Amino acid sequence: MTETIPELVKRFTEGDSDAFAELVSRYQKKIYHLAYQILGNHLDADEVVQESFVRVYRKRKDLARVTNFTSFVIRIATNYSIDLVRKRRGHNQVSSDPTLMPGDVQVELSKNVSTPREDFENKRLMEEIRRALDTLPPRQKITALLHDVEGYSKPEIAEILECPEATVRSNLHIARTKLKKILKKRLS
Amino acid sequence: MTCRTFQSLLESFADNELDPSQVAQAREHLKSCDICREEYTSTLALKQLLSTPTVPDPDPGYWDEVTDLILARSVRSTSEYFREPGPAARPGLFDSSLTRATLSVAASLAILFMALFLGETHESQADRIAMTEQAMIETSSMVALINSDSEETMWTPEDQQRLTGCLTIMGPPGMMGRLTDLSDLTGVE
Repeated sequence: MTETIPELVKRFTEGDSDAFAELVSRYQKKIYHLAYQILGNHLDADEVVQESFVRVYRKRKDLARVTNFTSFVIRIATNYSIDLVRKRRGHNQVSSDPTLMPGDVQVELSKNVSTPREDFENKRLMEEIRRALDTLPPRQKITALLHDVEGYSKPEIAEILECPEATVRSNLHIARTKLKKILKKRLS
Repeated sequence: MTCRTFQSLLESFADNELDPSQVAQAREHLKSCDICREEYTSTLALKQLLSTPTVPDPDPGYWDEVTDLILARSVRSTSEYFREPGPAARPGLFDSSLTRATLSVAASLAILFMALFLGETHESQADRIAMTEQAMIETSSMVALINSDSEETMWTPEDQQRLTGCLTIMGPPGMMGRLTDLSDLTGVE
């Protein structure tokens, strides 16, 4: 029988390393996916995954007071991703070549890409979306990604970002308004 | 529903957060307002567009590899947190207070003997310096005697000749060329 997250967290706080390994196994894909969406390349996503769990481990003594482990771990990953976004701002991460992706070129828009032309079009669309997202301040960008890409609810995002739900709604509205203007041609 | 009211509910409507009565009113408004309908459509299209991109899966072995790295950086680097409680450790050699006191006394005695030995060595060195100084004084007296024209010299002419020869050889480098005359000078075959 599969253990629940609270059971694993309890065992982890009691000093069970297997429970920690299981938590890593259950959350690493979710964190990688989120970090990749925010940062746009494998290397940074990998750094976020590793650093997030190392930080979770270091804060294991605080876990007894944590009510929602998912929000806790996503918050750590999100905050680290925001730090990396700010750090990378100075480095021109977005490629000028529309056929190339920032970082290591691994992104494809759909799994059923069949022809080079479709592949090219998908990459160009992905690049357009990323450019549009990169124009947003980090918290607006992450709010949009958490809500519209990762599927978190507004109360969950408020818990993750440690802000009022009204702020989440406001950030999401502003982000969507900006993105609609930038991606107007694609949306028509 | 007015356009202003619809716009305030647009995000919630697009995110399926309205109650059924609000949804009905919104749908009714969309039938009669092109601007709000366009806005609503573009919001749905944006949500669709953002959710379209897929993050590529890394290599199959990546997840095991990254789990190992995380455990190495956390659990294995602070293994005392997860250490199994083992049997009580036996008292070490230096754990007894008697042993520690004995070792302290022994160390003090060793330092004392070392100090005494060094002091004696220092006295021996002083004696050797005094003897050297005495030898130098005696040597200078002998040189003065050699150089004097006194009748009462203790050296015979042969002795003086040999000594002069030795001094010549041990003199400036230019004198070393006379080594062939060594036997003549010293009288030694």
